[in-house]
Amino acid sequence: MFGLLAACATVFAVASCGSGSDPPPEPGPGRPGVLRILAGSEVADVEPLLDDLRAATGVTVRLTYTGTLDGAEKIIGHSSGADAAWFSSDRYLRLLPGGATAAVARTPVMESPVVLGVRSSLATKFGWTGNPNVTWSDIAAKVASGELTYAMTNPAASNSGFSALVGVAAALAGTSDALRASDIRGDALTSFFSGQTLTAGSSGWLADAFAARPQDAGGMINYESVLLSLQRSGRLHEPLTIVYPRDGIITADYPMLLLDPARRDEYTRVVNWLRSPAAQRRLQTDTNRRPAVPGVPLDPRFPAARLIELPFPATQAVADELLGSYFDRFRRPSHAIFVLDGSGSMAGQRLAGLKSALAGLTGGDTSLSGRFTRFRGREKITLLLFNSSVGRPREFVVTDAQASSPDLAAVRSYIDGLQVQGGTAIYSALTDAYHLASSSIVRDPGYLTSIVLMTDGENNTGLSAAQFRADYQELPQQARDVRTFCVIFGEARPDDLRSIATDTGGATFDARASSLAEAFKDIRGYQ
Amino acid sequence: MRGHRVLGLALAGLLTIGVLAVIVIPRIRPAPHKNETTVRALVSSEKQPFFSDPDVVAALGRAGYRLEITSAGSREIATTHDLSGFDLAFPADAPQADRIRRDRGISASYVPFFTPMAIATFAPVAELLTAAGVSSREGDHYLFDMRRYLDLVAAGTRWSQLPGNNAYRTDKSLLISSTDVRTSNSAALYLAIASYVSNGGNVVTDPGTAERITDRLAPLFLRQGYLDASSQEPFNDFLTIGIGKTPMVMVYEAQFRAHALARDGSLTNDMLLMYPSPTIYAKHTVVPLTSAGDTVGRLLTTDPELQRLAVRHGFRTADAGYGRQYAAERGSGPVPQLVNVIEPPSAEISERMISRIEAQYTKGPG
Repeated sequence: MFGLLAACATVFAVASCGSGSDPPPEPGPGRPGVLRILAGSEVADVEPLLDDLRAATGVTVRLTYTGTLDGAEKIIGHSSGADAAWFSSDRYLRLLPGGATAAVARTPVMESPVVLGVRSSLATKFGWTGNPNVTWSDIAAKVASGELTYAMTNPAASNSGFSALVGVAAALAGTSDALRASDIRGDALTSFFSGQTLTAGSSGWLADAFAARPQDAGGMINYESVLLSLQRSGRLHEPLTIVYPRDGIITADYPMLLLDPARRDEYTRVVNWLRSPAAQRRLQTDTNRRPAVPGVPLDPRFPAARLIELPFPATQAVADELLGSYFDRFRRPSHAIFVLDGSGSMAGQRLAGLKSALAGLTGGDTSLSGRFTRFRGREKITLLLFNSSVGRPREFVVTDAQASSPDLAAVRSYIDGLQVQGGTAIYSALTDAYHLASSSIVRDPGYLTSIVLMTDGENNTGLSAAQFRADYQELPQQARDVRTFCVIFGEARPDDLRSIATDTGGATFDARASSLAEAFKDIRGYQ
Repeated sequence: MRGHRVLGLALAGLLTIGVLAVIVIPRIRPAPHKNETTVRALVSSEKQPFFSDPDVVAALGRAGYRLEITSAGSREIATTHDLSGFDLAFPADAPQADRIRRDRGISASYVPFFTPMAIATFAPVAELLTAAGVSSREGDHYLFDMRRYLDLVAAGTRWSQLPGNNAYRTDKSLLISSTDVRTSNSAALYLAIASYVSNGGNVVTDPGTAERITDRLAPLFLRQGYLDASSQEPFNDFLTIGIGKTPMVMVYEAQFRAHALARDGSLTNDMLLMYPSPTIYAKHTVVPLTSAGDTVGRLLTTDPELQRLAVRHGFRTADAGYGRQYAAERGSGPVPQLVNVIEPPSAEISERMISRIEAQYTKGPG
């Protein structure tokens, strides 16, 4: 089951840019008998039930996947082209202006708390095995002592990360009450999130990456359902001990939202089927979700221990304060190395698209998703242009994250001056980027370093793929651990870029059907 | 028995919560008979399951009526919703109905059914609160002392600070879970009870007192953080997630009773109701806007079958005898006779209090 979830999540990363899955829903009115649902990738593991759903209800469900904030933006703007929406949570959406009234009906379908999975050897060492009294403060102490690192999704891109951020902030505030801005304990949170050594834009991709590279993190904060699925997949080198912090967790209730009242009949049939006792039992067995319907007993795979639910902020102001502080102060700062194709084929529209995408990241994109994907405080950005040869790297450090700051103005000015000509020396550039990353990690070990490779063509000069790989293998382990996220654009060879992503633990993002701006924003979730 | 089974399904299936929804009830049924009169009704959202019940639809159909339901929050019905084109308005509460009647010079109204506010909780919590002097056992239900509760909240009491607490050890604040007072009538009634107690046992009648008292009571809602818009949702959390999220939740008695009477397996043995002392009745009141609306209002109040169906949905009706008889048939105890019951403030005072809390959300709790 987990394999499927992971596969869907991987497809999602690519699919959000328009290849590898259904085309985005057509704008305009829907059709009777069809329910077009804008969904988060975290519900992709329900797809195997949809044939039976159609047989029982006569309704064809079409899922199109997108990120949390992107989805919220479309729902509020009434531009989703979907009849319904299905994400793991709608709480943030409903704090936004217009968010509470965007849906005409809301029905929780299943439940999963966001909890911590720890490698069992560590859990034993910490005395956490079978221990119901572990608190977030205990976890924070193990992070502070350097004994625990963990994986967690980007809280602006994925609800599991956002739930964890809110829960940890509430628990460490010591009140367990709804968080107010004045309760946020910055120092404690900076210490806690210094332990986050792996991030991602989706919960499924995070789980894959965690399983594939045990050296990256000692534990993972994720949905209980993802942790249980991973546990059962046989892909872990070492089993996980799932810790349910005693001071509380936040549970996702996967509400299905009706957006178009004209599809109420289809919607009602779909949610009634999903909430039927038989479907609820299947969701437990196949997807490790807890039932959302009273009267369906809890499967023994879930611990009977009582989980304390932590409150969620009451206002968008508090939620945004928390998100902003996470990026500017709490998390490990990111070092993003952009390896950008400056060959002749990029001239014209393509170069304009690249400049606009990068300018968007400096604060030019004021959309909801743009606000949380832009360059943040403390971040290091290296721009490395290449054509037939590799240019001189240009590094920027963001000390002031405001869009009007001199730091970001300098980035914009550099981007404005980009010129293109000549050939495409992809592997020479990537080799340089890894050497740059290698020395940078030694200099500044506190950063999370990643590489973005954007090209619109195939390698036609400089080092070969084999020469790059040979060089890469000689790098120190911590440099080899730097992931490369590849943007497929123009006439780039997807297979070449997928190999690079696979070899380095990265992912590919297809900008051919959408735009460089969309691809870059998606990648930001993984940096 | 068929009816019971259908009700069970309706309850299981129709937990779909209408935030603001237009539904033509008989969509799943054949086209309306030519001789049926279509009546457009603006109804508070917690009554949607009642009007979606196929037996209710059929009983109205036998009388020659087909209802086209638009559901909205009671506050919205009384304050902002455009009533033109509707035959009747059916808010959850008398003050809101009064306001519509006064604004439009309508004298008639009908109260087909009513239900008191109650607190759904778990036996260990009720016992813990009894030990702390907040609740007391009265036969097969509990009374919940609102004065004592408000004192504990004002003192910032946490569950972990209650004496002898081994049942519910958490540092969370002792707070009744509720809905969002900006959208939901059940939260507005909770505020009405709290304001009465805070005002020394008097209904708040003047704006100055309303504002002063609301500032003291706003934390009842703001400290809970994010709140659901509609009363079905926290009750659903009570039933599924349970004590860890909602150790006690403000509900309509009807919500709990409907599940108890349907015996649909959603209530466990340790779930029970405490009645706030004082409590308040949500008097579901029909305000007729046309003569067809008037006929339907009278029908809902006098038709024996529709009255029986209301009892099945957990409501109290004028015929308490039938309520007792039906409860006995379903192996459930009768609803308690409540003595300490108060009247809500006027719609204008209620609106003033809610707006004051709304302003705190906008400026943020700090």
